Amino acid sequence: MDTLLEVRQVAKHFDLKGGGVLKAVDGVSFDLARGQTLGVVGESGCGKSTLGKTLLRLEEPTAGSAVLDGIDLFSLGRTALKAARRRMQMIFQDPFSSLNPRRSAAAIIEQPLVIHAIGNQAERRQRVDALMAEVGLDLRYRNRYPHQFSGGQRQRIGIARALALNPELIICDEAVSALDVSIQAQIINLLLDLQQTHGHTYIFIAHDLSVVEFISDRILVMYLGRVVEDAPKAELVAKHLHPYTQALFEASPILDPDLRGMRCTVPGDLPSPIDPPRGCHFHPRCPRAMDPCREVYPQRKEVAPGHFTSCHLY
Amino acid sequence: MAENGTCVLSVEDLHTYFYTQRGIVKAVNGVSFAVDRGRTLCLVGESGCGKSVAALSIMRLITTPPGKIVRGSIQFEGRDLLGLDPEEMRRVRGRRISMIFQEPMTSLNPVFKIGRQIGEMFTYHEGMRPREARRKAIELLALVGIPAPELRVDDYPHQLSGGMRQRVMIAMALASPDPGLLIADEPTTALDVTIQAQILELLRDLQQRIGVSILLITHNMGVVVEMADDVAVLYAGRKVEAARTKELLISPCHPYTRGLLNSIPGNPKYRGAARLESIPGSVPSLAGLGEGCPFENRCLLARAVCRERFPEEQAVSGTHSVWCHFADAPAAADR
Repeated sequence: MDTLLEVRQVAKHFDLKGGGVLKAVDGVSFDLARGQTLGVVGESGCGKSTLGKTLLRLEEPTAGSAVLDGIDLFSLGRTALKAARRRMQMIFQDPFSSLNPRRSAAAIIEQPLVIHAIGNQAERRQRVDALMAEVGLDLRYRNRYPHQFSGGQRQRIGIARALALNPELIICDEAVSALDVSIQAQIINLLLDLQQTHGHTYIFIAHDLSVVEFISDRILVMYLGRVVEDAPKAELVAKHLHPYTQALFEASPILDPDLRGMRCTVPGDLPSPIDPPRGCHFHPRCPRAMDPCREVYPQRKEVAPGHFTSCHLY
Repeated sequence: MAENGTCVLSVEDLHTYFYTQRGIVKAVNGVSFAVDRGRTLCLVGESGCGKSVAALSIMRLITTPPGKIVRGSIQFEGRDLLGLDPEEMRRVRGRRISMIFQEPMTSLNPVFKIGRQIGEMFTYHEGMRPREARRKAIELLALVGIPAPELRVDDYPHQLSGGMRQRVMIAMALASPDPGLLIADEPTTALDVTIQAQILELLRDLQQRIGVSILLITHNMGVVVEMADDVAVLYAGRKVEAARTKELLISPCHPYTRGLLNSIPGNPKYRGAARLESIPGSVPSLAGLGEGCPFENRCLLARAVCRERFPEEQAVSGTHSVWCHFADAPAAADR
């Protein structure tokens, strides 16, 4: 396997004002092969967005290591980090707040090229035109401002900006969640086409399991800062072992009215990540919780080749 | 109370327009639908399809100006809601028709305990005394599955999770002794999926127990499948297809409905597929839409006639209708 990104025991803890620690990400490890898509799925407070930001060092990590193609991202100084960022970019959820409302589409897409001093003005203009065409934006709209575009078009601007530096790794943080379903399908297809053309490696972070399932090669399920299960997609779809993964699959909509009301819902609310339950974080909601679950956080075990889970049942 | 199957709410040829600087926005443009007693009708569609404006029109909560119900009738239990004076309408709201919204935090008053807010329904509509209203509030909190209701009744909204707040909203909606109709506008959209599953289960369970009729507004086909007996698909202010849920899923006829179902990555047809079949383009601006089919600019079947006039209803079966000039064209032609 040609590994592009190697993540080991990454943690991001936030000190809270009144004392206490929020362990947003708590010991996450995975390997990501070049040209593959890793889906990260989980509900509010599971740490999936913080994980993405920490890997790009938009948040400073508390512990762990992330090695991108031999470069230890967490030990880089400012200049080296800036250079490394050319190789990894991010697409954000909200195409409203992640685009500067005072700059034209072309200026937004050009910005990374300006920051990294790439090309002269004419070359940059050419590159912006090529990027706009590639993501399906009409070149006549170069000088329009974000508010003049629809949500889907704005997301295309965000994608073009992320592509500007030809990055190898793109982290998509809920990149299609805010879009209407017909537009969401267009953007998913665009991301897949771009990957095919350029060989991008994606980390695709989302709460919608069906979207993650469609786009990913490997899926990592998070709950309250930790990975509870990760496996190749086909393996996970066929055999989801952790009771939380099972709950996610059960809760994910199925287009079959005959199955209505047949699915098991897990009880209870998502606990606060500030003070997660001791032992396995999921045990208060888990239908199969046993005594050890209340005491000890389960070890991560490889239950089948490439299929890992942290659960006392296995 | 009427028998199951009789019509509780009947909306006929509703037109709700907004008069803006950029022109007249026909948010709801001649839409009709009916909710039968004890059943759930889903209005499904994407942003700007008019589903929320239709719901607000029923509640007569359209802000005028700029909005106005221009034409149509809204019959609820034999009365035309559009003909009621404001005082009569206030008695219908909350007592006979209740509404829950997407974001419960903005619909609950942050400075009052939830028990008082639920109890208000009884003190206001029933003239009940506060102590008794509080007892009723505790009963309702128990009904909607809130643990330790006798303690929770004294909580403020911010002390509850999103799912619990939505349960409180449902409790308030059910406070009336005989809720005729519950309008739920994207009730689970702001919730995490495992919590969404709980709330949908609760709504289904309550419908079975107290027989409330539900008008559910959603953009999520998964929610439709979980909840709806009947579905109306809206697009840019028009109803384009209506059917029993199963019929719609098995044999969608309108190119938009087919495109919508094809856009869902969880659609079983995509097992192992590399791409989704997406609808090209985006929803047109509602200001200055012509008389034609609003889907025309994204539709692969569209011809000149589609631009000229909106199609007549075409019956597929006794319970399934479609509004499309070329709905009988083979499905294969629409990709």
